[in-house]
Amino acid sequence: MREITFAEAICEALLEEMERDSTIFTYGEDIAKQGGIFGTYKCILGKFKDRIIDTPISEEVIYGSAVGAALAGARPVVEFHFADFIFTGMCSVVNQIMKIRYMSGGQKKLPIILRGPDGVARAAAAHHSQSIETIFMHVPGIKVVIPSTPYDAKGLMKTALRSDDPVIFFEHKRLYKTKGPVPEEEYFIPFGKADVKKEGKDITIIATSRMVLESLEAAKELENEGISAEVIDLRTLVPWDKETVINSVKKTHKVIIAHETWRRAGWGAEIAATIYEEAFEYLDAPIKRIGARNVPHPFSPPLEDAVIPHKEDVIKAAKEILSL
Amino acid sequence: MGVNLLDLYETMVRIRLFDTKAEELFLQGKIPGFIHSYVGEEAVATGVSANLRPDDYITSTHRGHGHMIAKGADLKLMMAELYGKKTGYCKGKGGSMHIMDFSLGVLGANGVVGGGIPIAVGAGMAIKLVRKSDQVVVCYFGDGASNRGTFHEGLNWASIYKLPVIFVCENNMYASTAYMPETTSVLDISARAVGYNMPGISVDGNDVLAVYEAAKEAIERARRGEGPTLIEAKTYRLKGHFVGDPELYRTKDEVKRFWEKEPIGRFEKKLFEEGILTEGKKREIWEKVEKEIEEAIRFAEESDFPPPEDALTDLFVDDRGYDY
Amino acid sequence: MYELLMPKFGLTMEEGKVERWLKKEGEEVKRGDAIVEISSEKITNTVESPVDGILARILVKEGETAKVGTPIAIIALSKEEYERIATKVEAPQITPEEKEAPKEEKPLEIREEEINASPLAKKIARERGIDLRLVKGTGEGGRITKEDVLRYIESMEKKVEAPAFKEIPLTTIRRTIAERLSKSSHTTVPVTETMEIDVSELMKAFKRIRESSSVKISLTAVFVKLISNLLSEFPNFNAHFDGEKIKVFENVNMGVAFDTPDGLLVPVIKNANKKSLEEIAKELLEIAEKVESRKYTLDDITGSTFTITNLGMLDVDIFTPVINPPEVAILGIGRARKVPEITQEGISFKDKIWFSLTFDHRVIDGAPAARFLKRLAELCREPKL
Repeated sequence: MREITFAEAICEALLEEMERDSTIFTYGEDIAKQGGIFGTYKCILGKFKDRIIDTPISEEVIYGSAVGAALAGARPVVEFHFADFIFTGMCSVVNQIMKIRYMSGGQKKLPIILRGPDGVARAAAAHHSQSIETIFMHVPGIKVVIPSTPYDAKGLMKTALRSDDPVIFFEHKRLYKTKGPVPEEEYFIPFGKADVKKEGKDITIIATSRMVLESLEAAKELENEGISAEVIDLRTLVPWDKETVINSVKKTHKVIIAHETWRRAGWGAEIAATIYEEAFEYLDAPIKRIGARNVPHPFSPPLEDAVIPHKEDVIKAAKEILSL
Repeated sequence: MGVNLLDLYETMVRIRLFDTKAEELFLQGKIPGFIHSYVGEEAVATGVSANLRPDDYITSTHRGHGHMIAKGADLKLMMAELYGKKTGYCKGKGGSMHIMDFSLGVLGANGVVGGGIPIAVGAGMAIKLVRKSDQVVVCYFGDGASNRGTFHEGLNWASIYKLPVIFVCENNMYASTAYMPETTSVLDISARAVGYNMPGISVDGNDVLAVYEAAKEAIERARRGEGPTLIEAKTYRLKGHFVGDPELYRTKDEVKRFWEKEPIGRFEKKLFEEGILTEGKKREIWEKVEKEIEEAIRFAEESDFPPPEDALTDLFVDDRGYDY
Repeated sequence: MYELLMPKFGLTMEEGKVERWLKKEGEEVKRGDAIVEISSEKITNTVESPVDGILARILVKEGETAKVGTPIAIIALSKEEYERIATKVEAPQITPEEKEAPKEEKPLEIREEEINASPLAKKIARERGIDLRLVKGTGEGGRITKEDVLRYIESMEKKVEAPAFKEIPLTTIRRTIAERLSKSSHTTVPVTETMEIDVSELMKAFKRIRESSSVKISLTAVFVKLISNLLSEFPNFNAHFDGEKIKVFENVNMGVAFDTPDGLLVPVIKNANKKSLEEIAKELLEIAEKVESRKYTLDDITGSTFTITNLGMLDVDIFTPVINPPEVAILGIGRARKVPEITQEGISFKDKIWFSLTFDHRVIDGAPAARFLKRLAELCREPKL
């Protein structure tokens, strides 16, 4: 199977759907001429005249306008330049995009996609490195999608582009250049379906985004020491695949949850609490959560490395749980 | 004059009586939450709306009953929504401050000051870039909102894309308790239009015909594709910010003075002078509207509250796998 | 609450096996109610509840063993207590600092919340009746894990240092025999009287009948007929006693003990008193076939009012048969022997059989039993078949 990059996969999804559905149009900063700073729009440059637009730096309008556009019959795909700048227009996202349909009593669908890069790059520091998906899992009103591979990215973006509900789509900066197999034929990945990226029987590792790759690396090293880890990529947080998670817990009895966003009150706590509620008697050890240290992202590389989680943290946690 | 003057008069009376009655019902404890009275500003919504087609859009504010009634809303469904009944426009989920009817093109009253502006320009984008029609969007907001970021971002945005949006600033002199000249860097908000490269005009917001003319010109401009306009309608908020407001920020004398300039009385005088209105006709119109409102109240009171389970509906079109 | 401990039935008993719980968790028990059956080596005993209460938790399950003196169950003494103890795992109680004296003096109980074990380990321990205080934890911080519990269970099973043995699974028949006779042993007051009876005339009659009959008559058939007749003179022996009432039967349903590869079976010849010797003989042949081919039904082996058991063919003379409950007596038949008798005329040989009559002294006394045997002797001297 051919291999393409994460960024190319997303662009392909956009291209296919924009060709098919003329109500899809996309706007954001630095996309119409540049093709997006990470290349997610490269493949549609020059293809749809009025439907890919560069905007001024006006976040509250960038995001809020999506509501008006959707209500007027379009399907806007709006880029947030960096997840950190969602905060700049947060009122539009949380109070408008995430609430209008409900407040109207369900009068119309709001097919809006908010997409863009999140996570650490390299020494981009506190304003360009955040992962904030937890907030959108906590406040109701938007679906949260967070793929880790090109295959997942394309399939999920295709589904998002046909969704009638608002979707926020997080793409980790360090994943854009990663390559992976992506079929040529059309396919969709439904929301709320996790992917067991590696099967195992001794311990379950639940992760998203970059931490899926870190966990797979960790699992490989653990395998050499005779520990069989199962790695589950949740892929979407709203809705999330509780069934797959609980079934894994019933099998391995031990759980690690790993995310790049801060550990304290991160979405890992929600998953952990749910496992405690629904699979308590299957647990042979307390659940361990792995996340960033509770500080903003520092600039200097060794400091940055000390704050964000890596595969070593996963390995250490696994060994602690298995008392080795 | 291509407009029916008696229709204008009736619309203003309808708005006046609805909001007066709503205030009464609120003080009787029949309406939960908050009410923000449009009394005294009827000429603005009436004059602007007389130029609108059913397929044009408006975005409204927390003080939005007048905008919706002028756009042709059903009083029964409005009253039921104010009461919180399941037969209301938003099935009881929005209430007075978030009352919406997308089928009428009312893209919502909004609880966030200036929250409707991004939505309005978004609708403008969809009209121009996707629908490619000659629909227009009227964006109502107040003097308070003209100091918000969304105003500045929104006007800039509408200007650069030449969107068919008519920005109608209802300067009623007070933003909650704040007296407009004390918080605003200009005395005429229309002066800000220059900064956004669009025509801006100030009109007497209590003169329904003046508003009508100004709006007519701006709307026709927009339909021709010549871009946005800022209209400042100078009026006065005769009632408190919300029903129950102790109004410690202004004197009773001031309010009394402005009651003498209120729009319905002024228009009535003109109509009587031109023989278009007679006492008999006036009585007929007032009785007709009173009856409408009585029916609306009866409808609201006889309707049921939504059952508790309805709270968990209308969030997403597709809620498979969602944890309520 | 009350901790029911593994009782000590014998001086040397070290551990017992729970055979059967007679009450369920959550069931009310009254003082004196039979609550559990414990077996140790050869003895099976019923343990009675020493208190009124509710059986709150069974700690040692059926089929499992426990050392004498260890708790095998917890009986709650009140409904509230029961609610507290009931099988759900309790979350650890976080007592606020302001609390002064503890509410009540808590008796020593197995407090799961104080033991550092994972929820899964606790679940397994609870299901297998393991006391977590005895398990060593190897998890983080000394936590007891599933592995630890399973390891402990394995080691416990190895610990019982018995001589090499092969475990024979209990068949239903064996179990039933064990249960019924155990019951009999516990409730009846068995006394056995024996008498050596001259059966020479009986044997002569037997030979005559056998030769002249078309049906194959067995000695057992003869005994069935004979005893049926005898019972009509001693109706009190043809009865059931349940501890309260004596039921004397009009007809004799003769139970005939059969030794089968599966164990002791007692098929019943219903209304033997009304049947002729030929009929009885034929029925016995049918029964023998049914038993052989295992085609008998429950109906065939229930309903006896009196039982005879013949160990003569195995050369036993005297034995102490166990009453077949709820019957009140059982007649054991020994070997037919030729015994020399010296008379005036010289030495002659008599056929003699020892009969062993076990009777329930609660309802039959020694003298009537002796009279029964004496009359049997008379009937053997002058058989009327």
